[in-house]
Amino acid sequence: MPGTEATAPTTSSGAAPRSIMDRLRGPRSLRFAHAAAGYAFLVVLVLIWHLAASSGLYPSHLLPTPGAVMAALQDAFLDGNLVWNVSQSLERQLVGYIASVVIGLPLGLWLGWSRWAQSALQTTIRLIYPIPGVAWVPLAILWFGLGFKSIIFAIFITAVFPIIVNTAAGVSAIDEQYLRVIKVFGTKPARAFRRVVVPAAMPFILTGLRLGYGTGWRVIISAEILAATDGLGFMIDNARWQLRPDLVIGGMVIIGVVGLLVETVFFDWLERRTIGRWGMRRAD
Amino acid sequence: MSRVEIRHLNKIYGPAGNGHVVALQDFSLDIRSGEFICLLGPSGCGKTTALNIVAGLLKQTSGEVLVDGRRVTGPGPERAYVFQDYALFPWMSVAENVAFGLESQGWAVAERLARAHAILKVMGLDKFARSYPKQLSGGMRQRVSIARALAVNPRVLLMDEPFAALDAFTRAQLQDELLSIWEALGKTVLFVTHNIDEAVQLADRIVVMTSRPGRMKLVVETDLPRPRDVTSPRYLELVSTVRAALSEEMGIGHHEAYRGLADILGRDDETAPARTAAQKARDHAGH
Repeated sequence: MPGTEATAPTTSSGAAPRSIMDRLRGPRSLRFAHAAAGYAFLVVLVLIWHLAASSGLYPSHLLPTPGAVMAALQDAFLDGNLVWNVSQSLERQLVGYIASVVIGLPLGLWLGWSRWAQSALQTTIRLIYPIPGVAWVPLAILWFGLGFKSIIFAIFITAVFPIIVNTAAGVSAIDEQYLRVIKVFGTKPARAFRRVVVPAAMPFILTGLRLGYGTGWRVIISAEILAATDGLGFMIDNARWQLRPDLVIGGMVIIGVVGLLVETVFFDWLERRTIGRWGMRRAD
Repeated sequence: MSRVEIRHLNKIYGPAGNGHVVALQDFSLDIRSGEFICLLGPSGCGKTTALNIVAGLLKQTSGEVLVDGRRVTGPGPERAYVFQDYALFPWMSVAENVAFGLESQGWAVAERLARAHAILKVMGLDKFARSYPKQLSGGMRQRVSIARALAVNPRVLLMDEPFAALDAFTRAQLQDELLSIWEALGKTVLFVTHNIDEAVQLADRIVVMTSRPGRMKLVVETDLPRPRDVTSPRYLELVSTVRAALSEEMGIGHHEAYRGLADILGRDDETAPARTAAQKARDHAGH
């Protein structure tokens, strides 16, 4: 059946979502130029920063130059401090996040599937969801003391709710058409759930996983400022006490870069491998 | 092959009293084993409602459907359904989609995929077995959907406007293919369409339906050998019979009311009556 109909529009297959203006204008002929604009702006910003910092208008012990920040990072890297702190943060993030996936995913699936579960739990979840993860840290410190457990708890409680809520939304938003196919073929509930409902909810599940990871990473830094003696959060807070703004900013850069790598690079890859390949839309 | 008896079906949507819609009223039809029936009517005439009741996807308000003498209370393996928008699972390969009905019946992986591949091979789709539906054109997707319905070897094939979203050429190809499948397997087919030509092309009998409430208006026997010659006098006669019944039904000939548009917008040709004062004023203001 050649050329009868264009294949479905593939969305979310890696490239940045196109803005409304772009879509109105037509073909994406300026993709490279747009990507270049993104880096150019960053370069200009760093340049302005450099000029401002080296102009002497602002004391350098408060506003270091980009070069000084890089030097501070290099020192921290060479003496092993940076690697140690990054690995500590990542380890906490990983443990807390995996726990939130292991708990949140099944709970979200159940919540989306069972109307009773929804009725029973929704109000409670909606009440707890808006409490920021950091707000749990004082309680966590009381319960678990300073350190690993408290931070894990803060990440877990932060990441688990976006995962639950989005997964549940994905399951309850399942296309009626798919349910009719299940009915027509008499698919047993367990199989229907595994083979149809879960993959159908995948765009939402991935959004939940991405959001959970992102909010977790933001909270880990705050939690480490409050309750840790190592990690990136501790590193920048400690640098403040030592009056080392170069290391404070350097730590912030690392936090941004590590977050970007996982949140964008890893999850984009995961989306391309799943819903991108299937031609499903990303749920935002 | 299977006989389908539809007896005095009524379907009312919404609460009794105000605001309810009678989608189907006293709809009866006796479908012979191996017969190809087209349900034809304007949108909202209840043809899909009737189909879904036969499929067991929808509960009738009253009446009954018998398949080989057994009352329909829900979906069953002897009836398969082809959806208008294909309803393939985007996360499954073509072969997995075709095998889904068998998978639902508990077939082992090797056996169900073997049958899926065999069917795909006959239909000339075997080179797409590993593709995902998004990689296929609309016509090919619908063929995969038909393969999925055939895979469970149903006795009755229920089809809800399966070719409505396809362009005319693809539609002709798929109609032809469907007839070949039907002739090869002798299945009973209940096919819903709003396309007169399609109905006359395919059906042994065309059931023309009225809209709101959905009732049977006319049953036309299409006593033409297949493949049907669309230029034969009998073919054209059948088309015009069906068209006349539908036009009557849809109240075609009510264009008088549209003359009122000229009072609002004016007319563009030279026989135009004077434009309204307001319009003239606006036209002038524009210059």
